[in-house]
Amino acid sequence: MTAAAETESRPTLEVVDLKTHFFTRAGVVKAVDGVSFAIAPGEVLGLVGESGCGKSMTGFSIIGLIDPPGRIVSGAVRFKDNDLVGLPEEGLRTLRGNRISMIFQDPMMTLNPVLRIDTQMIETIQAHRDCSRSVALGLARNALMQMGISSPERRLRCYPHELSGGMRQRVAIAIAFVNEPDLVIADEPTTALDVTIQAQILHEAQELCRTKHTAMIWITHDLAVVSSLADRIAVMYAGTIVEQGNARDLIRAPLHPYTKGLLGSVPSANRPGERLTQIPGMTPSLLDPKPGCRFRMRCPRAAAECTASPSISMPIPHREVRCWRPLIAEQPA
Amino acid sequence: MTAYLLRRIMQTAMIVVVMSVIVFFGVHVIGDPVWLLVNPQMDQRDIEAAVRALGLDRPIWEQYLYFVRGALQGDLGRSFIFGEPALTVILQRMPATLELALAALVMAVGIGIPLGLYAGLRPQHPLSKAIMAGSIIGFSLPTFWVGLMLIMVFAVMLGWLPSTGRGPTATYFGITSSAFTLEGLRYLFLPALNLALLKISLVIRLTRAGARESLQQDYIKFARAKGLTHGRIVRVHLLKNMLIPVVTVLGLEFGNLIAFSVVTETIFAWPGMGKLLIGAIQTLDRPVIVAHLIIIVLLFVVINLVVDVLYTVLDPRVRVGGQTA
Amino acid sequence: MSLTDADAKIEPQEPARSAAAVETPLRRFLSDYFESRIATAALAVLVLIICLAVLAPLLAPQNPYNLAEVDVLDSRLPPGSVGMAGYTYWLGTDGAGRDLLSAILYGLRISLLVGVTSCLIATVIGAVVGLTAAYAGGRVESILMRLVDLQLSLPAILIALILIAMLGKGVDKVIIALVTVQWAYYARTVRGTALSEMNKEYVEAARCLGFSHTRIVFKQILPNCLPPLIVVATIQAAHAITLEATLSFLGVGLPRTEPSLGLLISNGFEYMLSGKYWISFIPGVVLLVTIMAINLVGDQLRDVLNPRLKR
Repeated sequence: MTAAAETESRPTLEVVDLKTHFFTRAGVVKAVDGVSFAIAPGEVLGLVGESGCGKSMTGFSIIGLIDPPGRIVSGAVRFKDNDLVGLPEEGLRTLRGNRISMIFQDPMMTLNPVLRIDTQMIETIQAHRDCSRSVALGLARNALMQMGISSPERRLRCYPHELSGGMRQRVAIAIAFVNEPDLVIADEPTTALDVTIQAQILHEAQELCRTKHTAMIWITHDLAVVSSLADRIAVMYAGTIVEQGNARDLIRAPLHPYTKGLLGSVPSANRPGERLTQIPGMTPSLLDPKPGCRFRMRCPRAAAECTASPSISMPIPHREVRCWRPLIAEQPA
Repeated sequence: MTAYLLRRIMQTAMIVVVMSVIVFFGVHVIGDPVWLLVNPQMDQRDIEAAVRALGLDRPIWEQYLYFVRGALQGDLGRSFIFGEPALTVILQRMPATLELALAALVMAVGIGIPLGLYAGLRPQHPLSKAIMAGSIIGFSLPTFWVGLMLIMVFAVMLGWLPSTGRGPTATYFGITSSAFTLEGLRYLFLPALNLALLKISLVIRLTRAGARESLQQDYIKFARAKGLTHGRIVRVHLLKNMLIPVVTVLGLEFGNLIAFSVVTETIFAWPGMGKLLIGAIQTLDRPVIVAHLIIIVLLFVVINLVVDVLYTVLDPRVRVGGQTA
Repeated sequence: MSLTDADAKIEPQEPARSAAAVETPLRRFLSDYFESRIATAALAVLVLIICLAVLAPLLAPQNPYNLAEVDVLDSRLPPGSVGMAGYTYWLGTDGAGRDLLSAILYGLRISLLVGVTSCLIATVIGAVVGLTAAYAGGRVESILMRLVDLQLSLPAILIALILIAMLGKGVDKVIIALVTVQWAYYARTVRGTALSEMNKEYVEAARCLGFSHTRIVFKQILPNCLPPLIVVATIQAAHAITLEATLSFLGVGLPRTEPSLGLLISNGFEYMLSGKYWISFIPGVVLLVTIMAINLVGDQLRDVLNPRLKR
């Protein structure tokens, strides 16, 4: 293999058995409890799960923004030969916004309300490269135009509250991409927006990733959103990944009962008139979790063996699942 | 923006008018108006002549109009003690008070904001806890007692600074102030510190609360995610957001500072408006009291207006008529 | 150092309480309050001060205002010295030969009396105004609240000075001035709490049951307004005492026949420059300790009674 091809085949990001725990007065909250996945260059991974399953915390752990009382207790986050866990703050800072960026959920809260858009974009550029303000301004303008924002000069001089929700999120995405990072972590970026804008932004983000060959983790609770966008999907539940694999295959024929339940609760044009299924029960607390499969209280297929914590298996090539009794029978031949 | 300003000026004018009515009618209803405007030391015939001359035998609404006419021309009565127009007497002493209040404000901000910022950014550090404990003590200290202690320690025991009076002044850019001379600063230091002490506690607590609240905002996390340096985040992102409530409160507190200078001026024998007022109350120099009240009210509403305008400058969300996407 | 909120904590769940302990709100309040050692100490100090003040005539070794007991030849003696009659002045004497310890005890009594009285009266007036404003709503509310805002925008000391200038001197005038300065805080607090209480369902239920207005206001709304009212009252008490001391110090407060701590401090002022500092210093320390104790107690009360910090 040539050196270039080898670089190409090496994953951009490799998360190995990541554990992030929060040490509170009430006990230890195991927000992320053994998460592993890898992302190839230019690949889009959809990280899906209910609220409180730890998906956002996974994103924050990767970029190193876990604050006390939480910390990464074990595991590795390998980003191009560097293990981000244990990297000193200054090292992390040079990577953030530069080689790894993050997009947050609510753009009104993530853009500083008293600073203009151009200020907030230019500072991102100037924090990571030595260039003049006018050069940075030009780059900012280009970034906005790439996001499909017309008359970017006018927008640059605005304050966040003067823009609509969709526009603000486009700005946030532009900021994330402006330094041409290798990895973008998007934490529910369209959840706070109208459905119509959601579709547009999804499309624009997808385009950007493709043209710039940027890897992306798209964190969301909405399987529908991620089905068209992601190359691979990882489903998280109660702090662990319960299923991982190629997006289309996973959605067509899920292996884990939880994934099946999630899919059943999404209205789909293909099954009009069918009742939506509901997963009974509630997400378990991540505080001092009991041993065993964490889904077994709500799982229709739970059996005696599920009192032991399942390990990851690969019943089908390129499809991982954490379950003693995966839905192999329902797979296509 | 101009429409907003005009509206606020109209409101201010209304408040002044309302206050003047309250003051005037209040004084005339509670006390005997004759004694307010006429020196009770004069003999009976002179008193009667004065009463007629001042129109005090007329119906009250006519008296009010008379008062307003005089006020608009700058005549707010004549001081019994000084024999000069009350307004002149007060205006002569106003620069000293303003100088003291401004110096105190500068001190409060200069000391309070850095301390509060530190306490907000590193709440667990022992220094932060000391600062907060100090602010509770500062809050509880009676200003006049602190003034006495300052004199005792710095003037009597250590002999570093003078205990009373105002230092020599110098004039720059048309402003005459004792802060412009070195010797003047020595006289200014203790009284300004005394006045500032109460506000320093307030500024520390406000700044700390503002810092802690701002730190929890998402935009700080986003700024970190962009890889900005720590220094830039504090300087640009944190400070501007934090300072908005601090500035607003401080602006309003400036009026309080001016009012409270009464105490400091008395202790340090600082020749300002406050000391004049106490003297006027003790000697029953009523025209000065009335004039003082009206001027203070005017000062207050002007300060309020300035603070409002300042607030719109600082917080772009409040600006009227901004661009929309 | 990082820009992180280092004391972010997730709220603990309530530990299971044994069935034997009776968990009344009062008991829970007391146990919450005494969690802070500083506040407990402050409360102890406060109780001590109140006892001293109340029992002053019994405790003071000398009645400083009975001229027969005061020897002017004993004036300006430093603390611990022995006087002409072989009597030890523990805290020294002032300019007229009065035993400072006794003078402070009496002065404390008057300071506390004036401060607390004005506080109570202001509480009643403020609560009535606040409740009326909240319950009546409409124009009544807006007029009353305008008045409150106007009052609160002017500095307390200015209002007090002007009132005394207009009304003259005397204990009752001082109390009137203190009440005028304070009532607006109570009114605003009570109105705020009453408004949020009124939106709750039990008020609607009471109205449906046909309870009279007074009954609803006094039996339903007022008890729920008490916690924030108590907190404000504590803090305002400290302010009232400070304000009275300031006014007395300036010579426009209580008359010389009712000497409070402020007057004692003012009396000692002239002797400061000649080094006889104790005449002003010691009463000042007593005043300072009193106010700090009240403030600390008030702070802890606020934390404990704050519904948003549910423990």
